[in-house]
Amino acid sequence: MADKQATVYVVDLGASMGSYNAGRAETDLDYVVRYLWDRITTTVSNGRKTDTISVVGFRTDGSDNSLVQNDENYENISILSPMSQFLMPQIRGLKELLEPSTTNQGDGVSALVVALDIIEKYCKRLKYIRNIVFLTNGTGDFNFEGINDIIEQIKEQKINLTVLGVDFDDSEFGIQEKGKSPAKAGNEGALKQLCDRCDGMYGTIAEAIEEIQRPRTKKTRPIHSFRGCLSIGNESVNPMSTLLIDVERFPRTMVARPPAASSFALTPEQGPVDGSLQKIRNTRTFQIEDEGAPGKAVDIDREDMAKGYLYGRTIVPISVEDQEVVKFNTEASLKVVGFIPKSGFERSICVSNSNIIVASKANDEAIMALSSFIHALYELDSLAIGRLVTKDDKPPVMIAIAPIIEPEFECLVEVQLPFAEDMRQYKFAPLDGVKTITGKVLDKHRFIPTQELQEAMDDYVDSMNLMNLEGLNDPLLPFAQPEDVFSPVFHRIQQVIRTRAIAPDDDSLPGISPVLLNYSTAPLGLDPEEDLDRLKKAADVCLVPTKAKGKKIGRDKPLSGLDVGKLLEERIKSRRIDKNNPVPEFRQMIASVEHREEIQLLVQQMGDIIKDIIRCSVADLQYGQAIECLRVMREDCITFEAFEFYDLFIRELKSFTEADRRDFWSRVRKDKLGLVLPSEDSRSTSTVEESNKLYYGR
Amino acid sequence: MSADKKWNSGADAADDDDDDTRDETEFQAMKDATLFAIEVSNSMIAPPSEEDGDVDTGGSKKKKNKKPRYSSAEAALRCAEAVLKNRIISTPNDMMGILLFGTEQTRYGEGSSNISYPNCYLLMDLDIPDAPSIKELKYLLDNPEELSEILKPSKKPASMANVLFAANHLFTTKAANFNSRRLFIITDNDNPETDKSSRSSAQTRARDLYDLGVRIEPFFISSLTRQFDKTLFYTDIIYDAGEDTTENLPDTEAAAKETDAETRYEQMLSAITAKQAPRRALFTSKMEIGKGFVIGIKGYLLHKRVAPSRSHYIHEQGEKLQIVKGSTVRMVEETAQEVTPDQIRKAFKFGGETVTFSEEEFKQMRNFGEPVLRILGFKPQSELQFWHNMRSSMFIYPSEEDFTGSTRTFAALRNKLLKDKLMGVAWFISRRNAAPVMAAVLPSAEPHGMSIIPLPFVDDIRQNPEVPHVVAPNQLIDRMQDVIRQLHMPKGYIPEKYPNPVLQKHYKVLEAIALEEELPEEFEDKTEPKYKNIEKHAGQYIRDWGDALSQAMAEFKLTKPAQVEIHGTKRGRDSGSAAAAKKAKKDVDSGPGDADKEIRAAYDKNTLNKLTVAVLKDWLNSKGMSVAGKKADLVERIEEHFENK
Repeated sequence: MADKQATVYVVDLGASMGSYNAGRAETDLDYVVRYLWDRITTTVSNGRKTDTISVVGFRTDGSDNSLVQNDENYENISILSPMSQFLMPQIRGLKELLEPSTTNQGDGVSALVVALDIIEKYCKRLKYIRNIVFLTNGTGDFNFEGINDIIEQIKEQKINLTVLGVDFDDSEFGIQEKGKSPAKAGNEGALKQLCDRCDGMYGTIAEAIEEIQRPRTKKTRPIHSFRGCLSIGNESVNPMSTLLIDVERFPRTMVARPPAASSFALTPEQGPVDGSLQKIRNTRTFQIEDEGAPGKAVDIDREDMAKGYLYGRTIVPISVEDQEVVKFNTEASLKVVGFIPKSGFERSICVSNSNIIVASKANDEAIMALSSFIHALYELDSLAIGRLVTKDDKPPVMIAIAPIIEPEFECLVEVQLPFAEDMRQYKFAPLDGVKTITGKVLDKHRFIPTQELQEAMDDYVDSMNLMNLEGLNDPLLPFAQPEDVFSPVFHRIQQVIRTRAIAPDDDSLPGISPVLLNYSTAPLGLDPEEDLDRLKKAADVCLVPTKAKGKKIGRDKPLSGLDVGKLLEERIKSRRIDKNNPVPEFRQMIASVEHREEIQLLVQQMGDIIKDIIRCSVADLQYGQAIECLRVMREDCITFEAFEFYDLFIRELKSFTEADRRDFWSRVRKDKLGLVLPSEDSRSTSTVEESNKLYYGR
Repeated sequence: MSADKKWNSGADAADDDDDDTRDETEFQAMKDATLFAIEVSNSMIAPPSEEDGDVDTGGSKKKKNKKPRYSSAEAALRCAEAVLKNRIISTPNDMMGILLFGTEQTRYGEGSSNISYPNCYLLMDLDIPDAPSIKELKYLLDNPEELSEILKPSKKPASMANVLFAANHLFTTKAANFNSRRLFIITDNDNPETDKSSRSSAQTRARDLYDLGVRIEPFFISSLTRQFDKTLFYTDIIYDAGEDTTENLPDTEAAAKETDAETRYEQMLSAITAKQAPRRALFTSKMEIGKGFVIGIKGYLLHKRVAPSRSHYIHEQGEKLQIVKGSTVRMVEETAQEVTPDQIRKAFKFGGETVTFSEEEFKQMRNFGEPVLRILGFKPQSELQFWHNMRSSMFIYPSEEDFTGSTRTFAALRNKLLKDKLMGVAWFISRRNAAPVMAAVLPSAEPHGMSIIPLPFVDDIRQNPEVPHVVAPNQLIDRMQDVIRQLHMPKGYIPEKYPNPVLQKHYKVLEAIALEEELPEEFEDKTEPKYKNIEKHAGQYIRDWGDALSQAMAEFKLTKPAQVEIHGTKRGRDSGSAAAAKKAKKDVDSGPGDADKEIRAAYDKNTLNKLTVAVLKDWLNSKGMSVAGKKADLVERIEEHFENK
């Protein structure tokens, strides 16, 4: 667990915060609050009870703090939110209070004291990270009398003080306010001095807001996923010649997943506006098929169930004793199987995230032993192959192990490898030669690059060299180095949630933060234009028109090029679809029709066959066949621009199934074989509602 | 079977957005049906003649007498059996069937009352395989007499039109709506129909299969004396399937020229195995090589973890065994009212409440543009660190479907990357609304193509644990090098040599129970190190290293006397301390019995909530129960368990 944290935000709410400055379209307060909400929602989203927040306003209309009773210096300072974990009610409460007041009275330094007081009372002497964030436009009164005591206190309690001001001068960031009042200039100076003296942060709000655009990365404390022995040899047989090193394994890479959405229920009485959603609880029931029972299924009790597996279609029950036999028993271990040359290792074979392996940290001998392993691997340019079991009775995995040697750190890094069963034996034709039907190998073909194309490609690739570019997020890193790339979905979803949380009524999503799109397009700063033009010309890549794709033009001949169409002529002329061969014959005939009416006839015939199949089906055995006919008919009707006939038929089919084949209709619905929608043929006028009405009959 | 998914999704209220799993479910949705059509004729059932064998062994002296010598037809059946067993493991939802043609007997499954297919023998109906049919096939292969009874050729060969129509009928009725339907024809007859009209009807029937979406994959057997000439008949019935650049595929047919029976069987098997899994594309997408310059690609997964089939609940009380279907009812927690799908809203938990978005917004927030593999530029392959890995890579291959000229352009790019050892750096969105990733695009030497390796983001990189920095002295490193040299495997890691022992055992046991065979007693685990070899080749070097380590430690302690107590390394020479260390570990790690007691006690005291998730999961695991879901789900599951006890 991360350390406990307490943060007090001190916000200037003086009347002057309501003014518009430096040509901004928002008030000073709105400007500052953008930063405030970002900080607060970031804290809320981590959901930790021990990360607490309090908000203090100064130059407020009233006074609400514990010090004001004894000292009028604390007037016009209000605690907007006492120290607590921030949840939605606090957010809503605070939102209402963040309005500029009607006064400019109230001492900023006293507000700081109030914040100190809150922290002192809340954290006592306990271990906390203590923060005060002070936000102001610096135009109000700041009474710096007694500031030395305050500084002492900040230092003593180890409070991290951050002061951020609207239009505060910052030469490094490049902000210099024009026509600054002497009072503000004085306050700025004094606040800067204050920060300098207690190691605080001082800056202009514009910089802070720019800073929050950059996604923050969360540090996860390393947690070991395996502890055990790295071994070479069999300890139980050859104890004298077995190498054993105590090691621990930690993740090196691990997908940072965005928060997952859960399902909730709307209460029937409430509209969706209300936001109060009900928790859902899943209850499981178990059923088996029973032809006789209503709904063709009966519920069964848990006691009547045994465990088993499927072997093909066969159900194989496994008794409790057999379950022990099925189980594959293992012991946590990391056994080295052998060593392989690094040069021939195929990177694409790795199937998992990566983990690092270090020696047990309290064990100097293990550290030294592993160091020799790491360096020897490195010097021999080899990888180790290992068999890893992370915990007793976990399945073993094969891993490739490589050394990493950094100036003050060395370790092994490991990635999982596939087993024999994990390999898919797909065949792909070679890209450097084309074999004809007769077995001749061609080296000139439209699939093989010409010399001109190859040269153009070589030059283009050379012009797109990324090695001289710097990182787009951190210029100190190389371009597109993983350390410089933020996970777009991870940060996007968090951004969207936080924005919606503080503005639930805003019904549009904020734009994607540009930082997340930095690496979505080819970098500027390369000049490939000329080479690219040449490459485009040499490659002559053409888009295949959509129409041509559907109709499979030129592919309807067998490899020999025989004109099968001739053979089919007689069959097509008959215009009768054989019910034993409906799909091919329908396809062949519809492709050869000359008049639209003929399509209607074909659809009718096919429809009769479909109804026949359904009628004769034993239970649902032949439904699949009928569905296939229906699908082919639908596809072809769309392709040949005759969807009206299909729509007519499907309505007819609906009433046909109404009697005792309703289960067929649910298949139609599942396979979405209903009315043709405008998205499928632009001439269609069916709406989604109509389509649903047909599907659900409501 | 459809119950699986429901169970899984029902187990966890939070819906899984994992791209990885989604890829895989989409992938599995593509079902395949394969029908073996094996010709039976005098030449197909003839035992391979001695002479042939002798001629062959003249060149290579590797003939082993022990191996049985199969006729072509039997070899084909054995191939089918091997494929069958393999498929049950790798693609349990796929269908398979075996049709013999040219047999004296005629047998065809039920449902064909109105059509007959003379001289066709349906040995195994097209279906998801089951134990009885595998047993039947096994029995036949073990009983030559009965086999030869079935493999008796008819006087005149079967009509090819009939064979193709029989296949048509099987695919139509048994494997409706399958995305992939393939007919494997195994024959040595390159000119089956000489009569013009029967030729024409065979060609028509072949065309029907093409229109039905059935792909014919022939496996031709040539003999020494006669080379199979596919232009005589087969090129008239085989179509370019068009889905890929198949015109460019390597020869489909097994050029089984060798007459040596065992090589023939092995060749046939390897040809069929190569084809056994239909190539299923994971995605069809675009590769943007430069601004406004796009080619078509298809993506494939060449390796992906195969897990043992999941267990099902089974109902044993009825007349026959039945798989229990689980269904989940969603209820409002407080009121126990059932929730209809249109009442369900997805929301994020935030600040103790929920933050809701419309369905449209949910899609929009994940949308980073159209699917594309956009090359940003190129770097040397050496820039790709070993640990820059998140998941399996994807293999890409050009596709002419959407853009003509893609193949040559892709080939040119691959040539350049291979030559200069470069890789592309790309922004990659695999499907609509899939999470974008940065990826390295590496040229692949074999098979020809490229690999997409998804890279970690800065958010995915974990910090290093703290470990004291001690570097071994050179002398110790040298001893370790000796050990490594002795255990060098120059050919690298060959996955085929390491079958997953968990899977192997799982299916061996299932097979034994399903086929009512003896349970295997001993089980060979090929992933275990070859200890004998290690001892033989490296034993002495490991001892030397051990001595060097002791020496190095002694020197190290001298230079760093302040170091606190040195914990015993569990090195073999120190067997005493190793044992002690292990014992110590056991004490911490309480045995299974204790865990049971602990959980039971917590349940009784209603303090299950106080236990850590790890403990709960361990226990659930030990009971073979699901560990999916949040802590509350786990607790609930355990409570349920005890309540039902």
